[in-house]
This record gives sequence, C-alpha cells and structure tokens, in this order.
Amino acid sequence: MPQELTSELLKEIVQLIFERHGYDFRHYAEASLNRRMTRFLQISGTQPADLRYHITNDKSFFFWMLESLTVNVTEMFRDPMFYKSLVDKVLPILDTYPLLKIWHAGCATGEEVYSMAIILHEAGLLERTRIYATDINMANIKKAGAGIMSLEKIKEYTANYRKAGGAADFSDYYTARYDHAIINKQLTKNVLFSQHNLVTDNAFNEFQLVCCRNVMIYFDKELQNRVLNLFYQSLAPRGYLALGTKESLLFYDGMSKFEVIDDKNKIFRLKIDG
Amino acid sequence: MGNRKLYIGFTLAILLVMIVGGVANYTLNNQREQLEWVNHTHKVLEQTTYVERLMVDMETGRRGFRCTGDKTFLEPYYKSQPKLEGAVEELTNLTSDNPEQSKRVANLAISVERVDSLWKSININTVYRDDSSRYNITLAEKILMTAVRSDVIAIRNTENDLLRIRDNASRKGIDQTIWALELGIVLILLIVFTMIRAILDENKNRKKAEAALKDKLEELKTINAATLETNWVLTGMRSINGSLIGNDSLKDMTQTTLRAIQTYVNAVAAAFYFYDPKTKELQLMSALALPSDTPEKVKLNEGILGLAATNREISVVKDIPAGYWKISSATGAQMPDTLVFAPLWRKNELKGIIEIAIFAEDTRRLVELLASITDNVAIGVTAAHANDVTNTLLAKVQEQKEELESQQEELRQTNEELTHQAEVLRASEEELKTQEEELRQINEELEQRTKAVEAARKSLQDKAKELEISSKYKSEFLANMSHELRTPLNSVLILASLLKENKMGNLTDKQAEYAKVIHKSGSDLLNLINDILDLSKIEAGKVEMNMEPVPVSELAHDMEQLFSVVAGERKISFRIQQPTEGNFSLTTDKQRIEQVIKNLLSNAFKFTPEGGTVTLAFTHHNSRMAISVADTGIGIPEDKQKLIFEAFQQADGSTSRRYGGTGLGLSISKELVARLGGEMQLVSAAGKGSTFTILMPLEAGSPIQPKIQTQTVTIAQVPAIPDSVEEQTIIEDDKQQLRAGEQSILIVEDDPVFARIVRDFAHSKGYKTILAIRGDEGLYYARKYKPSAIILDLGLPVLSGRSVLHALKSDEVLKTIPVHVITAEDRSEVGFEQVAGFVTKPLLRNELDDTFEKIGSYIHNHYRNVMVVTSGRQQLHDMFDTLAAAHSADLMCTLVETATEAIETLKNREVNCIIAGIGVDMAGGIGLLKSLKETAKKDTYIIACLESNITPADEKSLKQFADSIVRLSSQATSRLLDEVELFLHKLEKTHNQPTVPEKYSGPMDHSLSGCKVLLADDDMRNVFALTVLLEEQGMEVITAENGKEALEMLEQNKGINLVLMDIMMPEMDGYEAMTRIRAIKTHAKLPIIALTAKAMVGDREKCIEAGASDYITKPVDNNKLLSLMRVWLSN
Repeated sequence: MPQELTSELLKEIVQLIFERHGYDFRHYAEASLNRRMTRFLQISGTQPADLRYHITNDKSFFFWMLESLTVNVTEMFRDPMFYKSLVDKVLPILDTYPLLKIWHAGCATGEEVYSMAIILHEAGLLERTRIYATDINMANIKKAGAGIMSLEKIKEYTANYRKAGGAADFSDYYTARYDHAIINKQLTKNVLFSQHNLVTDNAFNEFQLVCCRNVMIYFDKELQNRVLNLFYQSLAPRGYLALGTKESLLFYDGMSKFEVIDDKNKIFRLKIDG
Repeated sequence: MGNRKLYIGFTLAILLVMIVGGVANYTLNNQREQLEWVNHTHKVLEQTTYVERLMVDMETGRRGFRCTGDKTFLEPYYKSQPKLEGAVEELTNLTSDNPEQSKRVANLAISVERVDSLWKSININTVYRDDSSRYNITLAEKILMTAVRSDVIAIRNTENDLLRIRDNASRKGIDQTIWALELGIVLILLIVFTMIRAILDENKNRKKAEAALKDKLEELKTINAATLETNWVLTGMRSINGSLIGNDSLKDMTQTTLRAIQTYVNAVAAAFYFYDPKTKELQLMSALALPSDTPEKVKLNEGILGLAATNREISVVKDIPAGYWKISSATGAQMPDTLVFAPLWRKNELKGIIEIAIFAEDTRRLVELLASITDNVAIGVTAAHANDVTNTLLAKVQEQKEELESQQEELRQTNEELTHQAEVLRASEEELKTQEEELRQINEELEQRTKAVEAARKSLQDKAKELEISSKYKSEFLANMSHELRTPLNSVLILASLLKENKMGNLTDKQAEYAKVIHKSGSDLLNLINDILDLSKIEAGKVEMNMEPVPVSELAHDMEQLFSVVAGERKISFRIQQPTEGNFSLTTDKQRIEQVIKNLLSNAFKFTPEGGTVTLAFTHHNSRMAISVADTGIGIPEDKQKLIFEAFQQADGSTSRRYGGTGLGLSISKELVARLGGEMQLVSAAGKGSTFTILMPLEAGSPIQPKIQTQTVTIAQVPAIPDSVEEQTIIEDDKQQLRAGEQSILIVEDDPVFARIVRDFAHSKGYKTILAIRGDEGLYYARKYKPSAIILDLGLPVLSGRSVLHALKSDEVLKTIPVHVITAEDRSEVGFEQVAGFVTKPLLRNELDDTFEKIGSYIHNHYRNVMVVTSGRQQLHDMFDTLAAAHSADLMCTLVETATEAIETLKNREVNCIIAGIGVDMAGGIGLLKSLKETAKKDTYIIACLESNITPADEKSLKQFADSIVRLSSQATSRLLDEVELFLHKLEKTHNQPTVPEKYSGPMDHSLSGCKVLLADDDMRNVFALTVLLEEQGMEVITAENGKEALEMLEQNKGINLVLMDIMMPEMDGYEAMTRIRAIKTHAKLPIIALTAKAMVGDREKCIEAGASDYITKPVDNNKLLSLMRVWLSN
C-alpha cells in the first residue's frame, strides 16, 4: 500500500528538485501539485520514500516525472465563448496593426494555439501574425510542433468550434490519418514553438496579445503575481491579456494598470496610463 | 517401375548411338588417313615416275645425240636436266617420313647423280671416232640407268607394298566398322523395341487406372453432393452464427442475422420478430422486402405467424397463392410459394420467430439450416436483448459519472479559487481593521483641531475688533498729536535755518555746513510727519473735503506755474495737454486734487533724467476726466507697481536715498483720490517711464466713504447653464464659421462698443470670437463651444458676471477654461485663484495686450497640436472630426490634404503630433514620412496610417520615421484615438517627471568606440534601446530580426567585431544561428554574447554549447552588458 505524500515531504521534494535540477515548483499551488505527484507515484509505482533517491540520481526518471507534473489538459476551442469574445471584441482592434505578435504561454500540446490560428485565419489576420507558443515541457512543445491530435476527440472539437461561432467546414483544418489527425500545416507556418519557463524566465519580446489559460490556477499567489508582471512587461501599449475563465488579476499588484474588456471570459487590456 | 525401365532404355539407346557414332567417326577418320597415305603413296609413285621419266628423257636425249652426234637431240636432256635436282629433292621430301624409303630414295639420288655426272662429264663436243667409246659410255650409262631403274622399282614396289598393306588395313577396318555398326544398330533396334513395348504396356495400365478412377470419381461426386449440402448448411450456420456476435444492439443483431440468412438462402423476403413476454406480442425487429404495411406487432396465435410461433418445430406453409403476396416487384417475377417459420426457443421460452419466403425446391435445405441455428439464434437474441438493456443502463451510468467528474474538477478549481480569495479577504480584512483604527485616531485629532481652530478664530475676531478700535485710536491720536509734534520741530527748523544763513559770518564753513544739514534733516522730518499725519487723518476720515467746481484750465495753469521752473532747472521738457473741445470743470476739492497732481508731478520730475519729458494731460473719457502724468523716467517694474501705493514702500529700498521723498506721497494720493470719488491707475514698465492716471468723475456725488470690505457675496445656488437661449444678434461674431477643433474666445460684455473693440483685438491676434451680451447667454455659449478662454465683464444683465464665474468654476468641464475679467467694478469679491486675469476699465491698449498675451501663452502651454495629413483618404477625414470633437479641451487639430500643405504647416507652426495617411506605394509613403520627420521638431510623434499589408522589412523601414503604424480597418478610429491619448499621456509624464535616460554610469573610456556590432533580436524595444546605448558609446550597430537574417548580415558586412544574439527568434533561433556561425572557419573565434530571457541553470550551458562565448539575461542591465562587451572586445 503506497505511503501518503505529506505536505512536508512534498516541500522537501520540491526543494530538492530546485536544487538539483533548477526547476522551481516551490510556488505551485500545493493541492494540485500534491494530486499530480500522487498520481505520478501511482503510475510509476514509486514509493514516496524512494523519491529523493530517484530524483537525485536518475535523470531520466526526473524528466519522466517532470513531464507528468507539467502536463496540462487542453482541447481545441476550450471555453468556446472565450473565442467568440476574442473574435467579436479583440480581433477588430488587432486588425489595425499592420503586423501582429501574439504570445501563447503554456500552450501544452498546442490545441489552443491551433484554435487561435484558426480564428485569426478566418478574420484574415493570420498572414501578418507571428505566434510565439511556449511551454515548460519540451515533450509538449515537440508534439505541438508536429500538429498531432487525437482523432477521437475531433467530434468534440468540431462541436466546440461551432459553439464558438465557427461557420466553416472544420474538417478543412486537419487531415485524418489512421489513429490521429494532423492540423493543416498552413495554419502553423507562422507559429514558433519553443520552450520557456514562466517561473524562472523573463520577457523576451513585446506582444499585442498575451494568452495564458488555465496555467496559473496551478500557481500560488506569489507566483501568479510574478507571472502577471512578466506578462505586463511583455505587452505593447494597449495590448491585450487573456486568462482562463477561472483565473483573475486579483493577485496582481499592478491590477489597476488593466481595464476589463470581458469580465466573464477574462479578457483585459492595458490602460493608456498603465 | 515403367519409368525406370524407360530411362534405362533411353540411356542405353543413347549410349549405343554414341558408340556407333564414335566408331563410325573413328573409322571414317581412319579412312581419311588411309586415303591420305594412298594419296601420298601415289604422289611418291608419281614423283618417282617423274624422276624416271626425266632420266629416260635425258637418257634418250643423250643417246640420241650420241647416236647422231646432233646436238638437237640433246634437247630433251637440256629440258630435263634442270628439273632433275628439284624432282629428286621433292621425292626426298615426300619420303622423308619413311626412313626405309628415304634410304632408297637416297640411293636413287646417288644413282641419278652418277648418271648425271656421267653425262656431265661427257664433253658434247667431243667427236667420237668410233663406236667403242660410244658403246662404253652407253654401257656405263646403261648400268647406271639400270641402277636407277632398279632403285625406282624398289621405291615403287615399296610404295605399292605399303599401299597394299594400307589397303588391307583399311578394308579390315571398314569391315570391322561395318560389323560394329551392324551390331550397334541391332542393339539399338532391340532396345527401341523393348521400350516401345514397355510404353505400350504402361499405356494399357494407365487406361485401366483411368477407368478405375472414373468409377471412384462418380462415387465421390455422390458423396460430394451430400457433403456440399451439409457444408452449405454448416456454412450457413457459421455465417449466421457469425452474424450473432459483434452486434451493438438487438435490432442490429436481428438485422444482421436476417440479412445473413436472406443473402445466404436467397430468400425473397424475410422478417424477424422479437417476442416480448411482458406484452405477449411479437414485435417486428427487422424486415427485408416486406411491404410497409406489415404489422409491427402480432399477438401469439394470431395469423399464420402467431400460430407458427406457438410451435416448437419449424413449420412450412406451402402453396401460397400468388395473390397472397403483397410484395411488389418491378419485374413481376414469379413469387415464391413457400413460407418457412422458425420459432426461436430457449429453455422453454419463446424468444422470437423468423419468417422466410422462398421457392419450394429450396425448402428442404433451408429447413435443415434453420433447424441447426435456431438454438444459437435464440441464445443470440437473448444475449442481444440482455446486452441492450445493459447498454442503456451503462450509458446512463457513464453519463452520470462524467458529469460527476467534471463537477468534481470544477469544484476543485472553485475550491482553490475560494481558498485563495478567502486568504485575500482575510488579508484585506486585516488591512481594513488597521485603517479603521487609523481613521478613528485621525478623527479624534481632527475634532480636537477643529475645536482649536474655532477657538483661534474667535480670538482672531476679538483681536481684529481690538485692532480696529486701536487703529482708530491711533489715527485719532496721531491727528491730535500733530500739534504736539510740530511745535518742537518748528523751533528746530527755524533756528537751524537761522544758523544756516550765517548772518554773522562767524561760523566756520564746516559749522555752516552742519547747520545746513540740521535744517535739511529737520525739513525732511517735518515733511515726513506732515505726510504721516496727513495720511492717518485721511484714513481716519478726519479730512474734510471742500467740494466746488474747479475748472480744468485752472488746474493746468497752477501746475504750470509751479513746475515750469523746476522743469527748466532740470532740463526736462514739461508739457501740458488740455481737452481740445469744451471747458470742463471738476467738482472736487481743489486743494486736495492739486495736492495729488503735485505729488504725481514731483515724482515724475524726480525720476526723470535730464532731457526727458514729463507730460500732464487732461482727457475727457466717457463721463470722467482723466488726469495723467507721464514721464520718461526709470519706470516701475510690474511686481513693484502695487507695492508703491503701500505706505512707506518705494519701488526700490534705496529710492529715498537717491531720489528723496518719504515714500508716503503715493499712498496719500491714492487715498485722497479715492475720497474724491476717483480712481488711480498706473501703467509702467522698468526703464520705460511711468504714466499715473487719475480718473475723476465730472459729476461727483458725495465723496465715497470707504467700505469695510469683509462681506463676500455668497451665492447660495450655482446658477444652471441654460439649455437654450436667445442668441444675440447685435454684435457680429464667428460662431457660425467655427470648424470642429478650432480655437475660439468667448467675450461676455454688455457694452457693444467695448465688446467690438475686444473682438477686433482678438481677430488681430488670430483668434475666432463668440460674443454674448448677457450672463446666461455667456454660460450657454461656454458649454456649447467650449472656448479656449473667456473674457468676462462683471456687470451683466440677466446673470451677473460673478454668478457666471461661479457657475463656470462649478462645472467639471468648464472650470478648466481660463477666465479673464475686464470690468469697471472693484477687484473685491472675486478670488485671485478663480480668474486668470483682472483688468479694470477703462483699460489701456497694453492692458488688453497683456490679457491676450496671457491667453495666448495659456493656449500654447495647455493645448497640444495635432496635424492630420489625409492624402485623400475619407476615413481620415471622418477620424479627424471624431478626434477634434473628443479632444476639444486639449487639442488643436489641423487638417491638411497633401504633403506640400503638411510641410508648409510644419514650417509655420509647432506641431506635437502628426497622423499621416500612406498609400500602397511604400517608397512614396516612406518619403512622405521622412520629409515630415525632417521638417518637424525633434520630439514630434508621428503616426502612419495605411490600408495595405506590409512585410516585416517594410515595417522596419517605416519605423525609422514613424513612431506607430495603424492599419485603416474598421476600428482604426478607436485605435487612433488611443494612440493620441498615449502620446498625450507620455508628454504629461515627461512634463511632470522628466525622465533622465539611464545614462551609462561607469568609467568613461573609449575602448568600444569604432567597433562594429551585429545585434540579432526580434524584440523591437530591445533593439531600439540597445542601439541607442551602443551608438552612444561610439559603436556601429547592424541589426537583424532573426537568425537567418543575422547570418546574411554577417556575410554582407565584413569587420564585425562582436555579435549580440537573442535566442528566441523565428525562422532560425539563436542556438542554430550560433552553431552555424561557428561552423564557418573565419568566425570560429568571433565573440558572441547570447541575450536570453531564459534563466534556468541549464540554459547557460545550452548557449555555450551552441557556440556562445558568453551570455546575459534579459532584461539587460546596460552597465553589465557594456562591461561584458569590453571584456570580449579587448582580446
């Protein structure tokens, strides 16, 4: 029977990970981190007591664990109303920029990036947009870059797309193979996939839209503040920030720098004096 | 068995043939050889004969000759002789192979030789005397020839022997061969016959076997037929059984099964009914080729079907009449005449029934088939039905489970959020509590302070009262004390004066001097005391005015008399101007007015240098007389002008020392003038002289007593700005010609004459005007047109100027508009803070000038200038209107169409922000922006607007001259407004906190100057900031937007000393770019510093591995970067 993963042990492990490998999970929300770690222990059949040893000495074990800790569930057009709101409220303004840069932070396996590419394409903006899609997990990035999706989920995705207001033939956007679907290469040709760690890395460019959805729910307040500040530094004047529907700017010191564009779907815009 | 024999036979035959052939071959070869030998022998014989013949010929010839002695008989000898040797040699050759024969030939040769020699030895010319020599020779010849002949014969014989031998041998050989051949052939024939026989036997056997097979075959056929049928049934079973599995539902199962049956059996029509024990009905689950009105439900025992279902066995109903069939068929083909019903029973329960319509001949096997499958199908039905039920239940469970899961997840997330929020709430609760405490304390403090303030106020009030009383006492006292003060002073003066005269002449010069001084000081003191007493008297109201009509001419005359001498002495030109028409009289106190004028004139003369001018002018102004004294003296600076009217103040502390005077004159004059009902004004500027003007009423009422000015008119209510008003039409103004965004000045003045004066003045300064003649009208226009400034008279009908002012300052939007009050009334009751300027009427030209100057500078400082260059775009026209309307309070907007107009405007005016439209022609657009940027001031903010798509290269070029680029899409106006606001906000910020750009603060050195740097980064902010930093250090910067461009730049620009490489770039990232650079030999040692936002431990290694010499994290610390660069460039 597996031992319990106590809070103290988890803290120790997190500290050890940081010291040994440089990945900083010290400010991840404890509850969700604990759940994930526990699940990983089950999958890998490891005892909590052995974790220290493995993490310290077995690099491949660590990377396996890292992948399972940083995997985020995602789907295309997740929260369809969010995408509808983007199309109605944000894209018309973005249309006034001759060249656009968008940052999709924490893109996981890329489904939401493809969704973004689709709405940009339908609004005629994709050609002049460069999307930077980043994630902490290199395996995710590779997968996202390959454009591979699960075939059985396509039905669900199509439904989501419709709900988001999509009127085109969804099957135009992907090609089906035996057991998976591949997103149309035209959609991802302007997307740059690379690895980036929101906890430790800094701003690397200036964007008209920064999109980070359902990533910060796994961070504690302090980390959320840091990350939101990082986004603030990465935004061009009057740039837009989009968060997941369960997230907010509450924990950000500079909250007053933003005005609310869509409260329900958590779309914000930098104020003029922000 | 037969095969082997055959093979042996064949092999033997072949062998024999080969042998025979070989033998024949051998023999024939032999024969040939023999033939050759025969030939050879013949040849030899021939040759021998030839030789013989030759000899014979020769012999003959010689004999003949010998006989006759005629040389002609030697002819054959001579003919043959040469041939002889050759022939013998030839023969020798021919017989070289046979040693015996060779010997013989040799003998022959010798013989021949002998003969020949003999002949040769004979001299042909010898004549023979007798026959004996001839006979000897011929004998010798004959002997030798016999030898020859015998040799020849020997040879010939030998050859013939040989020939014979050979011939025999040959014959023998042939015989042998023939024998062998015959034998061989016989053998072959034997073998062939044997084989033929064997084959024939085989054939016979075969035939027998064939027949046997045929019989067997027939047997098999029968068995086969039986098996086929069984097979058919079995296959049918299998396929039908197969159809039973893998079905999702009962309906599917029945469908597949039925189809399987139908296809297999080729039934015309079929139906599958499911028996529901609850309703005791047969439900039609699936049907093939049945008409649509086939009953869905059939009760047990109802009809053939119902009846058949009650059986356990398969029932067959034959001879169905053709009319029974309601099955429609397009071809009208023959209908099947048999119905087969197969009820499905399992464990004594009916599960269902299958009905099939077929032709009679197929019935038997169908029944067999059905019999074998009914059990399974029944089981299948049971299972499928059960499955169906299970599936439905399962689906329900699944649904619920999913719902639960998602709810759980949501709950979890909500929970986390709630926890967070709870914490935040707790924290803010704490804060609130602390703030509450603080507030409570502050409140207490405030209460205490208020109490203290109240007390202080009360005491102040008391003190003020006391002060008033005491000041009154003071004045009274002073007035009464005049006598007391003057008396002793008088004595001093008189005596001093006497002393000064030095009548006796017994004082030393010095003593006389002292006396003079004493006298002077005393006079001064007396003057001072006089003035003080005078002033206080006047102030105390103790001065009596003697009002009488005083003609102006009289005043003028008196003054002239008084001062012309002084003017002459000081070499100052003194002019007096009197009104040209009419004789005016002032009703006033002559003495006092003269006192005032005298004071003014003496001041004027005091402060005017030699060669200057003092002018005394009497002018009639409305209902008043203006008496002005103007001088060309040192003037009074503006900030001192108020001061000099204060008692004891002079413009400059040292004035009294230089120019004398008590400093009270003006104060007294001012008070006197006020008492006399007039006004005193001063216009002066430092170094430009002064003009003091007294305005005296021609018809005076009672002298004005000073009011105690403490009441402030409190307006209980803020007057409302009317929504509509009857607009005045008396005075023309510009309100109809105002364009959006144009600046205007509102003039609220009820005196039309003055209003026009101000209006024209405003026009001359380039402003458009709006004129109101009533207070309410003024308010209305203020709100409607939002002018840049308001000139307000206080005495207005309907709504007084003060009310208007109050209303304006109480309105959020209008309170920022500067108000300049020009009025005849007193300054009082109008707070300094409320008005931007206050001028009293009648005012002079320069006062008006000043007012407008103030307005002008306010506009300049307050308003920003925006210029929109439309280049013909309608959208920019519309946007201009929106912009001007939205920013009428703080922007001056100008609209131009073309580049030429724009440049013109820029030359004439300062513009802070330019919005320029650009067409599809990128080069033209860039040209426009460039010329705009060059003509405009340094920090002008330029926004470029275009419709077309641009490439990153275009953007780069445009960004050289434009600060921002906007695409003219539907939301462009909103964006442009934002951009303008951003720019205004930035200006505001730099105004309030001028940002000192972060200057490099390290030691100043020039080691970096002149170096060439390649900067590869796709973040434009960074590129801009670093370029500025590096260029400041004297470096040349080349930029690239991605790894690919970086490589190109490196290729095109030789002499790059260092590379700054960003990591996250499109097309080719920094890692790859660095690796490629290092791959080029010449760049193996080129310093590359990686700029990365990634700060994790492994990232540094990754950079170094990819080829970086060093790395620095973003955001870049300028000092750190420069020192790092210095390190790498010093090598």
